[in-house]
Amino acid sequence: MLKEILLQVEKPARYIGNEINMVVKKPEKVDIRFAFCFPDVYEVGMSHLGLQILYYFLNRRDDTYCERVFAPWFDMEEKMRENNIPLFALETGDAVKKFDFVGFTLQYEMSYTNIINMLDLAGIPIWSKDRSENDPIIIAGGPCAYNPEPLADIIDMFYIGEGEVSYDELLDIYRENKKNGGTKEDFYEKALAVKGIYIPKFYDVEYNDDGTIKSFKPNNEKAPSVIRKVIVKDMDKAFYPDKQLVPLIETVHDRVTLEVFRGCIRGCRFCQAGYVYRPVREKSTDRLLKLADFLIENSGHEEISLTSLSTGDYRGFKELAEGLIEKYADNKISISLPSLRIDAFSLDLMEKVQAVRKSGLTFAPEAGTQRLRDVINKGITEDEILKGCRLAFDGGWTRVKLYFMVGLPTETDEDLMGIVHLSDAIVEKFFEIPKEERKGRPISVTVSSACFVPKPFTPFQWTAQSTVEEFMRKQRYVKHNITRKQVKYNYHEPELSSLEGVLARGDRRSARIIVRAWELGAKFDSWNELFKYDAWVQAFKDTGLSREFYANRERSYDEILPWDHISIGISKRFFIDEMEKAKAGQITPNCRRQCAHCGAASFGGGVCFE
Amino acid sequence: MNNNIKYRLEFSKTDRMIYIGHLDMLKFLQRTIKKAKLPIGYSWGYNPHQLITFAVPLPLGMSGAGEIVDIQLTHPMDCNEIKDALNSNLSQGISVLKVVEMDFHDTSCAAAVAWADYYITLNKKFDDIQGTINSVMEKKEINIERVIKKKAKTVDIRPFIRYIEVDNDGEVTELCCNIATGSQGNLKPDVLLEYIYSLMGEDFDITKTDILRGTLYTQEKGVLVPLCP
Repeated sequence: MLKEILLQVEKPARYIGNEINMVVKKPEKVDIRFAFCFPDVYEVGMSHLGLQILYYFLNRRDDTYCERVFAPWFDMEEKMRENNIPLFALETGDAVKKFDFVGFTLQYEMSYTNIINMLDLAGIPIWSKDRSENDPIIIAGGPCAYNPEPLADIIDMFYIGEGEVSYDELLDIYRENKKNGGTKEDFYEKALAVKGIYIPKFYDVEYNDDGTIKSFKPNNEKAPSVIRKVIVKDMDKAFYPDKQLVPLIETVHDRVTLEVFRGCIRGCRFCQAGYVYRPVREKSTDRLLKLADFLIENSGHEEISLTSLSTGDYRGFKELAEGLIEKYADNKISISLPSLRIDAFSLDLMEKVQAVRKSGLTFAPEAGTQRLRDVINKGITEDEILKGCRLAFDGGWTRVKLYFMVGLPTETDEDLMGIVHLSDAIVEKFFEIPKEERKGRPISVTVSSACFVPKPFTPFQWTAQSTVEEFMRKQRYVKHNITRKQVKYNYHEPELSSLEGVLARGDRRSARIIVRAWELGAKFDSWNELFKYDAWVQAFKDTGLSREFYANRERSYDEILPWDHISIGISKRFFIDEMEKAKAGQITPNCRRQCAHCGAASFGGGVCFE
Repeated sequence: MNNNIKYRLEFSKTDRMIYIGHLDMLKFLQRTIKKAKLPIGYSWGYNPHQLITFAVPLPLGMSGAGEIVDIQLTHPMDCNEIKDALNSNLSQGISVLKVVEMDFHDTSCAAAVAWADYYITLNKKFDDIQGTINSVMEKKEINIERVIKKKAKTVDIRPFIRYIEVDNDGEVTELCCNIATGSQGNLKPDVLLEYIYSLMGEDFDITKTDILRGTLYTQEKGVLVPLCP
């Protein structure tokens, strides 16, 4: 039966596992079966580094078998439902419902409907309260878990922080409890002692008449009132796999991924990742070069990429990049560089690794004027961009990509015009070069603008998001004013960002919107061709919940935020100060230049102690 | 000067691996070769690629028992060593069965392949299929409309069929046929089956049919010789 189905769907290899380096264990020989679920299609999930790390981390335990599950594409889902095939794990093909743990990674808010859909396909009740002793424990982690509330009635327990820290303790407790005949309830009680674990049912929320939160309190004396994220202190000692799953079909990123460090020193005020992963913790160059060797040897990949939030900030970057080039130049292994600050060194490096093909140059000024760049603390100036472009043009690069956001706090039409002026200035910079000295193809500048989404745990967590109509007006304004034929403008449909804005800062009641939208057919929302905006609009109507309340309302500093019981180690005071500095257009230097006393030093490691 | 040594590999592709298509298979083999640390030769030019030649792609969904690929190594290696190095790195469902060293000037497997055995398990039992097959074999020509490169074309497939044997002893009908495979003449088994089904007044559904490709042959002076001797 399965064969017949697999031959009827697109890319059947999405559902068969069997990749290079897949872990094979006998399920009957382990105590704990863990289904690692990525709520998106195979090719997206398999390109995710966190999956690769946790897969091998959990599987290094003899008592645990971690298998993978991805969201079946709609053609497969249809066949599965038609033939009553429940959601299954790739390694063994066994139904997910039989597992001890079903773990979701929350990478983006617009994957939440896929979580609901996967639970439903698995035959597991959607709401936590409806599950029985026979259902798996639903656990979730990842960046969106820092505001767990929109999924608090769906997920049984959240893991706040980096997986390497507490999973062993949690699984040990689970195994002991299972052996001693304990119930799930017993396990939850014991798990309250594990650092970084948040179990929503042990907390009650009360609301004010205006819909804001009145109180948020534990209802179990063992439940901590604040759950603090757990992070790896020393990255050199942290577990990192020496191999990687190598897919049988092409995925988004088909290469070996080397994680250089965690965190980011920059402190861009819109960027949640920049705060939640603080402090910066680097791996040593020696360790990275060794890991690179293992990964290349054990995977057969022909490309290696360096991954981190702002890889160019790695202190050993030059040494690392040159080390890799020296090692692999003759070995037909290409090195994929992250976007770097453009200077003589980085251009030379790009020249070396790119050999012949000159791909585009990328800049992310994020905002069009210096004033607004100061507001968002994006430490890049127009002068730097133009100088970088000139250097690059001289080297033969002629395609420039610029990334901006619209709808940033304090933004005016003048800032939007800044986007146009900056792109024009780059084109003019190219034409400054005498005709006979110009290299490569004619200049082309591609401007992309995303819609700003205020996120929890950023200084902008209190600000109002632009409405769909406002976003559209802003995009039209930019589009209208871009007149040079060398400049191309791309922009996203704002509907998706607007919904993301609702879910990102949602509270416990928001789950009803997600489930209702799913009932109305929403899934794979981040896939343009499958996005059903109408289902979401209807979901707000049906649940009576207001999107303006969540997305477009300015919050006051003393309002209890839905995520206030989670601590990322950075004080609210710091975020308030940053917000005030933003309003005043004052910048905050990066962590290496000057400590801003955000609070992350309390983790006792990383950049705070360099 | 090219001092590469050419080896011919025979391998099987079964189980879960039938769900990857030819291009993915190529990439998978490239990675396995790299992982097995074989001294693989590379082409010259801006985008060097491994010197690997498949005899003929195996379509997604079909199993193969004797698939052939030629590879070029820059240093000589013992054939069994190559086989073991690859097999210890291959996923379940693909295994190298045989490795032989070739003369560098031997025709590549892709140019040499001419015929293949196919073992086909049909979706049900057709009691009088032998009669249909007999009538097929008695025909002098069988003209079929094929769309090739977006153009409808009439092709005579009769010369591409050497024999079709019927095994009707089991619960479902099984066929074993030897048909033209390769650049000089190619008949896809599903095209043949569709034709046979149409003669029987039945609808053919490839997803309900198991197809295993067996030995691949080259033709020397009218005689069929297995590609991997």
